Amino acid sequence: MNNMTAAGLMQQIAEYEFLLADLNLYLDTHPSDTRALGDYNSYAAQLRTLKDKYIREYGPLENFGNSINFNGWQYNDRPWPWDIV
Amino acid sequence: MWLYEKRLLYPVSITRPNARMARLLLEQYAGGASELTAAVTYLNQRYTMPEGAVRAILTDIGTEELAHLEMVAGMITQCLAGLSQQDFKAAGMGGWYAAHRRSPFPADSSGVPWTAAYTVSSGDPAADIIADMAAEQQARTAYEGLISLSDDAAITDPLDFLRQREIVHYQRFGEALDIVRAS
Repeated sequence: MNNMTAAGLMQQIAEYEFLLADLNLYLDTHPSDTRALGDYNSYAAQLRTLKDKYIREYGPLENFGNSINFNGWQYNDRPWPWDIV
Repeated sequence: MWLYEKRLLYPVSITRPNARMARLLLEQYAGGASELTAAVTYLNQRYTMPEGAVRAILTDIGTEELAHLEMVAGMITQCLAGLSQQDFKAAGMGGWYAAHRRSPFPADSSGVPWTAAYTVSSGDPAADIIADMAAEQQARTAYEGLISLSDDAAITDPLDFLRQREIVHYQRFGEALDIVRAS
């Protein structure tokens, strides 16, 4: 994970977030499933680590104070999600 | 409130311009069973739901539909990137070019503007969730139609992702209906 490219790190973030979105929907209708809840909390902590690393090295992912802009106001910078890269 | 995350839910990278598919994709952008209809419907229904679980599932699926809407808009934008004015004309899309250039806009694949009349909010929890289950099945069918009409893997791959999400949403709404009926 130390030498990961921006694209590689972004792919990992996307995979964790997809997993967590799907688990979130499952937990909405199965709130008593403690195993799913344990998975959710564990993956959520790992996602936070991955995002913090991405944000520090490559720029903010989120708006409204949820990402620190470490190197100037990088939020404006391309690529935006719909740019062909 | 909502927070924005500057990435697509699932990657989209269409490098072959495709006017025909751009127009067809409008169906899932802002047609009757589109992502826009789903997002507005679910986020509107949640306010009067008595059960926390049903408020949660409507909030979260509604939010995911907004992310799907962004994916479809990205696909349309990429399909139109690099097309000349002549390409629009040749595809019978001179009207799109005149009114919107290369921008997506909230209408269906026949050009009919999106309307709130597509949405359902009866105020009856079971009636709403049953309508949502039907909407997810309609959306799945629409994605299957779009996949069968395209031969570019860069288009069919994200469409297949979206198709599979509609199946998961249908499942979760079925469970939400059980929760509504048990309460």
